[in-house]
Amino acid sequence: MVSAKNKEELIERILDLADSVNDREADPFEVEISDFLEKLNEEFSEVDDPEGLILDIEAMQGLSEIVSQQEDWIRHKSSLLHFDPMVVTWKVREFSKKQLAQVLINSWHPTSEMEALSAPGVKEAMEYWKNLEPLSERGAEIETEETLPDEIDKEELSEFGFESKEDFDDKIEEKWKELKEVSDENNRISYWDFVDQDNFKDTIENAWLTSFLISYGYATIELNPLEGEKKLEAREERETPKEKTGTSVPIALSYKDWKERMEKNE
Amino acid sequence: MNEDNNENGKAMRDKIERAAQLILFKRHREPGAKSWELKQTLGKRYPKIVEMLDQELQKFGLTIKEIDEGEDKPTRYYATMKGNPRLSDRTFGWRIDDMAALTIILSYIQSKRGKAPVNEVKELLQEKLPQWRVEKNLKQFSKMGYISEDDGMLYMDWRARAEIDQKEMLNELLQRGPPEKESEKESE
Repeated sequence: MVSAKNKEELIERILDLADSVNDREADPFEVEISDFLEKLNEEFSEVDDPEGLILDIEAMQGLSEIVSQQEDWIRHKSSLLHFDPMVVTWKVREFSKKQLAQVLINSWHPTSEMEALSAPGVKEAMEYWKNLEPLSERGAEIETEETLPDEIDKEELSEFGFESKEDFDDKIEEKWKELKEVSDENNRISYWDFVDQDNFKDTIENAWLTSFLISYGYATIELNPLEGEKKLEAREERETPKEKTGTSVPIALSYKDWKERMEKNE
Repeated sequence: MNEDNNENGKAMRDKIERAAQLILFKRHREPGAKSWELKQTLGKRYPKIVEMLDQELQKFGLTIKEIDEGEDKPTRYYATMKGNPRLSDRTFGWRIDDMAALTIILSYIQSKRGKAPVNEVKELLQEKLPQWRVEKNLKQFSKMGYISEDDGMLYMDWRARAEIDQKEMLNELLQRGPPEKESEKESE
């Protein structure tokens, strides 16, 4: 007589295997389906209580999923697209980045994506233009103060989780690298494209670090008051603040605006 | 009789132009047009119109690709480059590192029959790239529509299906020799 514990263990094992196969962690052909069927037959042939039957159904469902993965595997292999993951790993290790890029190039057929303004878009732009206040009247209410960037002190650093000035400098250098990577060929990128992250907390942290990129001379920010657009430009070499002075630019960060931008980008 | 022919020709020309507008211009984030959009605008014979547009576009090195998105989804038509771009330091603004990363991700997903655990992909990428770049690349490719993530697994998304010839990619990966051999070939 087989114990209930053994039955449960068998079911769990089958379901775990089905999950592993489904998550591509195990080869579906390594599972001995017929052995499991025999074991299920031995243990569940005389079961007639609803709980036992449910367990039996679950086990059978797990096994049928594995069989389905075997079928999928055969179909994939016969489609000439089969390539062992180990071979990919080996090739990736062996190839230079340039060779890997060449592999993409030789199989890449980029899509054409033209952009055009629609008639309603032009109408909206005209309305905006007509209602726009003259440049001299805009921003007059915002008081800005010209200040030279200052070094950040230890107390402020520890508030943001940095243990030392070196930690912080590394983070800024990393952010500078990132800005250079994601910007276009002229090292420019929209401020919000760079700053916005998947959650608001990370966006604030990113905006804070970006402000240091600008203050410490790793990047510049350009404002287009007509379109309300802000562009960051990464410098190839850092220019220390003493060499060039600028004006402080207040940029408001609000959860509502961030959420709107995220929804628009979805 | 001639007038009828002229009118039919003009109507056909108009439909080809309309098909070009729908397929070549981007609306919202995704380029291309869905089968039902084309049917609604061009009528039942839209596949024929698309075929004629394809012949026209081929003269300029473009072609129309039909991508089946699955049982419940409409077929999507994209205009893609017929050949391949050329590799330079900034192909279409892409860095070589980014292109290498995309090759690694897509070929690994493909070798795992269409989905791969995101952790395994990250580990593989980290053999070639720093961690911050790996995270950035995954986010960037996801945003562009090359990959999608669900429950810890990475899948190929619409742009990979439209732009990448999977068979060509695997053949390239198999046939390409190690770096030393390639440079020997180049110097010969």
